[in-house]
Amino acid sequence: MVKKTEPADILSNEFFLSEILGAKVIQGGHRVGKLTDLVIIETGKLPEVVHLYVLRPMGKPALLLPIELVKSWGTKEIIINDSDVGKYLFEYSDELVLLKDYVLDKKVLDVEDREVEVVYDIKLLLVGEKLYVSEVDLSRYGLLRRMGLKALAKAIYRTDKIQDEVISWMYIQPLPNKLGRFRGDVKLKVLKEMLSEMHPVDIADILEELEPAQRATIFEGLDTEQASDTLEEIDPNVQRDLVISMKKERAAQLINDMTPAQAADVLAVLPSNEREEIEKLLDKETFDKVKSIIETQEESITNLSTDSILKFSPDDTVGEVLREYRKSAKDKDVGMYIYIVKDADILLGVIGIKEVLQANDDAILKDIMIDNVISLDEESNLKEGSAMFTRYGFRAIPITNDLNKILGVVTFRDMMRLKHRFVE
Amino acid sequence: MNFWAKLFYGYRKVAKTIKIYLLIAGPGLIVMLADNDAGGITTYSVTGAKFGYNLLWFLVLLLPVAYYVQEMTVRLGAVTKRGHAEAIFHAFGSFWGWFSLLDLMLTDWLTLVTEFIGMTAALSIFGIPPVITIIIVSIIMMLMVINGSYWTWEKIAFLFCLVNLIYIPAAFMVHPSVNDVLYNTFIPHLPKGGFSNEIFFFLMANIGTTIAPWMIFFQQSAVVDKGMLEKDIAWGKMDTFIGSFFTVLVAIFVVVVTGTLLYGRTGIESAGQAALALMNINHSAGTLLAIGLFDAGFLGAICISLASSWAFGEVFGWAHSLNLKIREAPWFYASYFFALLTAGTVVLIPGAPLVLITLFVQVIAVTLLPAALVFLIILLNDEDVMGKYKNTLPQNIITITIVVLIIILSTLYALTALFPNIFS
Amino acid sequence: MLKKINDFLIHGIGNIIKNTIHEVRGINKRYNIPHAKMTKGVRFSLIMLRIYLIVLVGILFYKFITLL
Repeated sequence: MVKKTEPADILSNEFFLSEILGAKVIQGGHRVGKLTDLVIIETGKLPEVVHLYVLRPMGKPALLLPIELVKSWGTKEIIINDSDVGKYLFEYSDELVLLKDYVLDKKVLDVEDREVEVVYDIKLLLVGEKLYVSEVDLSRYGLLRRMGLKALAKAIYRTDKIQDEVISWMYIQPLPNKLGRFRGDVKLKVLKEMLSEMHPVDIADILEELEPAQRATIFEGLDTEQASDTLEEIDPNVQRDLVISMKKERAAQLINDMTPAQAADVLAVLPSNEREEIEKLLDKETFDKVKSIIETQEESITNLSTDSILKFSPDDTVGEVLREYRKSAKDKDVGMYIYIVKDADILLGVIGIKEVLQANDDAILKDIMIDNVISLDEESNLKEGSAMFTRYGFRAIPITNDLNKILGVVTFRDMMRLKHRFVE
Repeated sequence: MNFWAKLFYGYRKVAKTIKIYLLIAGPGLIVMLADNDAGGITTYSVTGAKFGYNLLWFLVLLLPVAYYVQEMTVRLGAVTKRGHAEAIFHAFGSFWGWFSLLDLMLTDWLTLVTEFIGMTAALSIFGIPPVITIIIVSIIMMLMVINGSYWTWEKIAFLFCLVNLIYIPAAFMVHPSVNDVLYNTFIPHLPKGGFSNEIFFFLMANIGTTIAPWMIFFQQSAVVDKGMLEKDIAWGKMDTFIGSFFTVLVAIFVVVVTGTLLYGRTGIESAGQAALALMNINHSAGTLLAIGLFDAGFLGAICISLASSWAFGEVFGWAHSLNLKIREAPWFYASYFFALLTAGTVVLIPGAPLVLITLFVQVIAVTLLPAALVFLIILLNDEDVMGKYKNTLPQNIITITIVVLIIILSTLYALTALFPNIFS
Repeated sequence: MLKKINDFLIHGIGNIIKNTIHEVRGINKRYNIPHAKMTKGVRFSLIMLRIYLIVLVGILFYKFITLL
């Protein structure tokens, strides 16, 4: 017979509120009281636990201990640092938000005020010294666990299935002011139906708001498909941090799940050594596709540009432009815009042909031109060029060098013709 | 939400209500059960012996009477954080203040004597001499306060409150006819022979034991000492309601016990005699009745002596809280013990006019009760002090009706006590 | 010896009485002015209370005298 050794009762990383409630609060080997509740403050991101509400035996006044005092968390014992606990006497205030008293067992409503479930449990996230409220457990598993039937719960529900009903606090609206013991409900930011789908766009939005450590932990909790979709939607800077903090195998798995174009996007933001490591772990097929896309993307934009455009001097009048336009526009690649240049093709401004047609014949170009021209520089690659078109919706964008000399113009039409190579 | 979620939600809500109630319960429950003091039990026993179950319905009517009067003290105490004596001094000046305080002291002391009469009578049934009874009582009272915490005092008082419920099993022991009891409890009617002076006397006596001046002072001071806040008012009211439910329940069961076994017997003038008479018919029921009588006297005694000590402490500005150690609040505890011991000693004096004192209590109480009740209603209508917790119109209608009725009936009661033939 | 105890008692009791009178004066001063709003209803109830008490005390005296 092998006797199992009792595991040390120290919690780390993540645990449930129901697991620590009722734990003895121990200071220097002596029992101070019983953990009865946690006081949280909402930070706009994940709520942070700031105080422990501790009931003491024999009707001694309750304590409100700052979380900094906690040395270690456990389901049976919470050890706190030596200090005079007498100075932390509890005093009631309307401002306090008590996690167990005010949030646990409350109804969860969706944006349309439909009752979704009950807050069966609350997941806490320990990051260094800080404790955050990370998730709300709405699952049947949570219900059974609260009823003290953990084993039964495990037998009935496979743990991975449950994941759907444990929802991140990010989905929860700021708690109402009127929250009290029996008042107020917990409201979601999304519709009931959306819960099971776990919106990648929403998750992405919210993840961007979080501290890196919180972000990583929550991201880890998503299943592969969700994580992969979310990763696509996330801001490139955050993408990079997130992928770097992940295990390489996991990153590769997520990237395999994406379309090659998206995969290429993600890989493109990574530092080259990280990227090479991950690329080695990708499927051969995916890798080839991604590779070709990246190569395409990295082609210089100048390859695509044309210098068959209409150029005028700032002092020309609209009448002159129109006469010239009728004469030569047919042969030019770019007819939607005219470019105003001086001396050695230094770009001063641009005017759309529509504006030209609307202006008086005697108007001077420099008076009606747009002088802060959106342009690409000669080092830009196709990917950046494509992004520029998506962003501004222009029909053509000029390419200039450091001296603002116009080197050519890329048209949207040409860009589109290339686009299929990114996506496939 | 599905069925299980709803069920769990409902269950948690109820469980939470009970849990919070148990934390806040105290003043209302204790004052109401202490209301069934030795004098109360005597009145109920004799009522049962004289009229059987016939007046049970009247006891039910006492529930709202007790509740509405005592509920006002909860609001007053929680809002002003002042005891009733201090409140009277503050609001009505020193004339009414001194009148109330001194009258309270006198009434309380005389009532205390009756409690000791009850306790010694009860224990002498078991062959315990009065001296020993008084020593036992003094020791228990010492133990209740020596810890210097309201909490300890309250928990021990709860224990005695629990013993007060002993009449319930006692009633089942004597096998009353459940149908008869239910009929007499819920259908108001007069006993055979119609209305008589004697019935009127007993109706008045029952009302007289339901509301006593010390109860108003006690509950308000206890609410303050417990540290109840405005947010706790709803719970305090619930506490008072549950208390008044139990006080009526106990009263009904006492009447059922004596009404079943002693109905029609003559020579039952006190609870002690009733218990003694019962011993011969149903030994265990008699024993329970005797234990109950001792408990009732004890519960009454600790509450009454506290009521005066709190009142004196408030007015004289002594430290006056059960949360203080004896040396921290010497005068408060001194007056607590002084009242108890002197009252106990009087009972021991051979040939002391105990019957006269019992009679006197009712008369003196009538000098204070109307004043205390009128003050209570005036204080509860002061919007500057009470704010949104002041009496509403329906509350005023109900309480003023109750107060006027109590004043009239208790005055008539006192008059019949003084001049037994006044109405014949 | 007996005289000493006697002195002490008289002295001590005298002190206690003096202190008590002092305290009572303080209390009277502190609660000199009633703080309740003296509306008509309040005035009326207070007057009724006074009358009630005077009558009641009168009856008690009567009873006391007839008892003797």
